[in-house]
Amino acid sequence: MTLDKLGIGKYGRIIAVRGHGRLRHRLLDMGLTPRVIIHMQRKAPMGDPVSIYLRGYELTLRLEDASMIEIEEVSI
Amino acid sequence: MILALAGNQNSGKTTLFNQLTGSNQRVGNFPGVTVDVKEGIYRADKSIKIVDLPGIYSLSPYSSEEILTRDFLINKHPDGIINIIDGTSLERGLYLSMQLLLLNIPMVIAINMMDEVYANGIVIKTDVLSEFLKVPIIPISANKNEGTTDLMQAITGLVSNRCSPPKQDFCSGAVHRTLHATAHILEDHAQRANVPASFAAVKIIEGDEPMMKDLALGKNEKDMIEHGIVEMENELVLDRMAAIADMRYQYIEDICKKAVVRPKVDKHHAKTIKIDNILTHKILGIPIFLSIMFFIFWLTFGVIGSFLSDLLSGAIDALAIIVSKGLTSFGINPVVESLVIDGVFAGVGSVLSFVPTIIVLFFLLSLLEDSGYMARVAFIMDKLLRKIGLSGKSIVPMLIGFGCTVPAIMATRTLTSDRDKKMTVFLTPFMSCSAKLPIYAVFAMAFFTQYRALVMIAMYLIGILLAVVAALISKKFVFKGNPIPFVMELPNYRLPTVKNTMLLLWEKTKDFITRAFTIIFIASIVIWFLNKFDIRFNVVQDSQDSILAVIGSLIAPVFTPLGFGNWMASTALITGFMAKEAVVSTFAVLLSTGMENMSVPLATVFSPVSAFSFLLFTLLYTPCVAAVAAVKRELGTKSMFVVVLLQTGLAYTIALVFYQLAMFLG
Amino acid sequence: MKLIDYVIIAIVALVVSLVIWYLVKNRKKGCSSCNTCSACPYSGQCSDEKKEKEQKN
Repeated sequence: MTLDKLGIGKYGRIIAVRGHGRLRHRLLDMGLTPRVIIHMQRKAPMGDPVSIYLRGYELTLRLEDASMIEIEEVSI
Repeated sequence: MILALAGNQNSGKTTLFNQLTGSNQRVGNFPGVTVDVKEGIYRADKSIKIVDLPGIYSLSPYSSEEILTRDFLINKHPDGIINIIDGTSLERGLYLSMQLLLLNIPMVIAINMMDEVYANGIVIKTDVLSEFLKVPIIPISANKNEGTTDLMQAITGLVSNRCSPPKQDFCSGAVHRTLHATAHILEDHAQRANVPASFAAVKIIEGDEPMMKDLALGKNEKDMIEHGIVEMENELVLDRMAAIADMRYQYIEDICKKAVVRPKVDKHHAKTIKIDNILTHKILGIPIFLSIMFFIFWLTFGVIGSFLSDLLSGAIDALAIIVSKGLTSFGINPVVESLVIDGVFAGVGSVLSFVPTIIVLFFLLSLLEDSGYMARVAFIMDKLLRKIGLSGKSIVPMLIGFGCTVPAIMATRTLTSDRDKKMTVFLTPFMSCSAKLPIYAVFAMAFFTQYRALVMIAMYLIGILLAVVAALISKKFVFKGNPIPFVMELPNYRLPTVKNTMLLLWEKTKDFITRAFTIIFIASIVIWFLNKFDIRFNVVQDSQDSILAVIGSLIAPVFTPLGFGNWMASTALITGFMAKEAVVSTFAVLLSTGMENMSVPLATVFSPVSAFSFLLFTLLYTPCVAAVAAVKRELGTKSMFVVVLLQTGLAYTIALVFYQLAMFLG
Repeated sequence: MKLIDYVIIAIVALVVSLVIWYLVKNRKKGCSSCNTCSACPYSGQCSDEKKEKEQKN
């Protein structure tokens, strides 16, 4: 599944970051690398963007960009 | 000795910079407050220069202010680097450190916000980290000035012994082999370009274009490197970018496992979640934001600000009366008395009396920036802004624009695409800046006494509404394409510190008062002079005969269709281009009145309808000189003229349509 | 006009010239838009421009 499908409050483990170019590089730089665990925090009032928690900080990104991130759901 | 401060956005670089140099640079709690390279001198040793750089997450820059940082670090070769890491998000900070370590420049890592780290129950064994990274690691709390002396001792020691971080390998296996091979191939190119080979190798593998250009590799070398990279990709089943990022984070995770103990629950973040459950609530989030903005303006105009300003203007008027009586009793020449009272007191006093209002507005806006709410506003408004062709990040410059357009235009540097940046710069002048506030206040007082606050808030709303319309039109015809992706850190909420807030208010007050006594003072005297004498430099009895009236009357007909075709209004608009608050001081001088009794003579110049038309025009017409200069710096001369002409043309059209409609409808 | 009139005019003229001198001095630094305001985001650039001018001289 992809990150945009992850339910609120659920955990996921990144498998791969797809897409290309600078945005992808940015996502990798921000710590969205394979095997990292992310916690879906909330959706913005209009359903987009979403905010996630990883590596000790909170990050926001759009559903469109989140759909580039392949994850598997895990339970903690 | 030049020391550079480098680190992630919002990791506290500017706070440390202020502590080390004793300056008062603006700090705030959202990513990207600093958008420019700033220099200062270390307090304890004047031979050390400290450079504050905009925050970065990696040496592969993303937006224009991040490019400044990269260029400084790579091309200007500072003598030492102080790498600041937010202790609460250590891993992401170390990711940057691993790149900085390759630059072959003496470096110390400062782990900042240790007070929060302790409060959160996180344990960071700095000695263990230091053993792995082979650079000194100093825990500090920049906002409490703890650990900063140790930090400076460590880095100056390294710099004077020229101790660069020792070369070491962070990786093994395929990435390691490729890195080494690449470094060997480009070694002499790197030497010629004056960059460390190992750093160049990583950048080339990542596909970094500026580095490609700097090294000027031959085709043969490029092919050899490419071949190595493809082999690595095949072996790891990861592409080059991911492979490098993964290698770094893997190393960081390994050392963090040994050096960091995190509690199960992040206490500080748990608090933030609780606040966010309300402030970014699914249904209530946007209404809460709008209420906060409304509340800010209501407090500024309706309650505190106007009360304080009324007090102050009363005091200034009383002082003017005393001085006037004194001058009369000395038997001073009436023209000289007029110079002091109608020129200096009326002009400077009219602007000074608004200091409290503007300070209140800045105070409230600074709370948005310092608490961490600003980033949330970007978060909740992103989708709405996308509908008009912008991204959530554009809201930050626009909110700053309610204070002053100049820093707002600077703040657009954090936007990563030219399209978004340009569009935001064009829209920012629609956000009515604080210097226009006196104009609204004076006119609302004179013509719409009962609906004072309402008229002022209406001005802001009209500005915002027109910005939305302008955005929709330009999205359709000029700025086609998509808004930038929105990837942004949401910092934890933090209580704004009293010291910071006071410093900011002090700076703003000082700035505003300085302007009153310089630009406004000179303008007032010039206006007074031109208003008091005729072309033959004789004192006029009726200001209708003055030099100013003659000049003003030449321009005035242009504004006749808008309802304010008199020479006073046109003069005020021209001085308003120098600084918006000069519109009010000009009227004060021309009508030779203090603030308190300005309403009566003003009513002889305007009717309520033409007054509103004048307000619409001042809301929208060209930004002041300083803001125009800022546009030129960010976008160039052509865009500057476009902004000036577009805003003035729009102001003219809107005021024209309003006035003619109002006249037609009676 | 009496002596005191000239004194007042002289004082105003002096203040005006001081202010102009102050403005020109700051303009040379390249920070005319932000006087002494260190909170101004341009203040960083000011020192750069100043330095460049010094180097040219």
